[in-house]
Amino acid sequence: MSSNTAPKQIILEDCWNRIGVWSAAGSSCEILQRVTHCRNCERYTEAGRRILDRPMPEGYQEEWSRVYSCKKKQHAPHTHSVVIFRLGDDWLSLPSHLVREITTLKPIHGLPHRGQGLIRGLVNIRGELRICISLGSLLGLRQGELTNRDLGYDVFARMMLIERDSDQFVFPVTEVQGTHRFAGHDLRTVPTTLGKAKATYTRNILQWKERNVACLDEELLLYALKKELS
Amino acid sequence: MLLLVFQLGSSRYALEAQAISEVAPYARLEPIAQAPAYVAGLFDYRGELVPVIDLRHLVQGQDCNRHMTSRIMLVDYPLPSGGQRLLGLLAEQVTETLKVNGDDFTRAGVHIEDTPYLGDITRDEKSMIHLLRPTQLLPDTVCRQLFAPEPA
Repeated sequence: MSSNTAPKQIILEDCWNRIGVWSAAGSSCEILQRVTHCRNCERYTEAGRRILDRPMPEGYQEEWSRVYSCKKKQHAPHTHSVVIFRLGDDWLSLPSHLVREITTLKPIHGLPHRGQGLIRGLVNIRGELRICISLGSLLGLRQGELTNRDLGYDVFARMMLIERDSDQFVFPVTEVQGTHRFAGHDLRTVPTTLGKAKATYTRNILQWKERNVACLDEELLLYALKKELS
Repeated sequence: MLLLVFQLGSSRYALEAQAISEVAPYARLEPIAQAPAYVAGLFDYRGELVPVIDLRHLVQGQDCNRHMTSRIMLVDYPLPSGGQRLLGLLAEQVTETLKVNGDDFTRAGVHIEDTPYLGDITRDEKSMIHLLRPTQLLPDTVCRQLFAPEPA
């Protein structure tokens, strides 16, 4: 089946170097008035196509045979996206579509008679006053004990603004790690040994950089916040 | 409709892009003993053995050149017994696509019994392009040889 035509030299008519835009003597080609640049010109395209029109190099067919004889790797599409953050010692995450903004820590203006509970006070985000809550208080988390030295990097506290429909809540977090995309089957079920309040709000566990991140239940969380604040 | 244009020798031919599931490089093919000369061999396509037809040999009686622009187009070939199997079509200069209107075609006006796969003709600024009907490439006898039914 081999009727190997004798290797013929490809001679490219490199008009783009002679009279085109790459010409040292200035471009004089008439087609340029129509196409502006050589890369829009069909002659240039044609020459590009002809570059591959040459005999196969040694091992070309074998190499492609190897590539095509393997099964195609099917990567599960990364359909889920969460923002991973830390609150004290706990790694948590919320669906990315819920997170409207992440800002630097802002001063919290306390409200009278609202000391240690869920509501921390008011906070000014881009000129608008928002209710600042304590997510840790809702989830029943203890004060964190991890320090920068344990983690081995500098930590910057942030404020997260979450929004759905017309409800907005702001809460401070110890640090934000950013968004993370993953496939649905990366999620695990919640072990029963977790702290009670947190377990209630945790829908799944996500393995991330050898840590277990609790994926918070968006519905339940917003329901509880709205109920507590009304 | 979108056409994938290629060459067999110096003539230009095309397949409807919709019929092609993948374009693969001209990988090594395992020859099939006693098969018709236009059967280029078996292509190990992701673990499935796909028979490949040398279109140039089928049409002109000469093998495709071994250039990097010679490629294998994979199409779903309907079997006379029903169902369909993958078939590879080897052609030269598989480098360009062309958008044409459905009514840009002219009937060839010639009917040769041995080449039912030759369809209508369209043209671009360079030359005429002969559309191939990929589903009528193989005589039933060859089709049965290449796609033997699974043993029950």
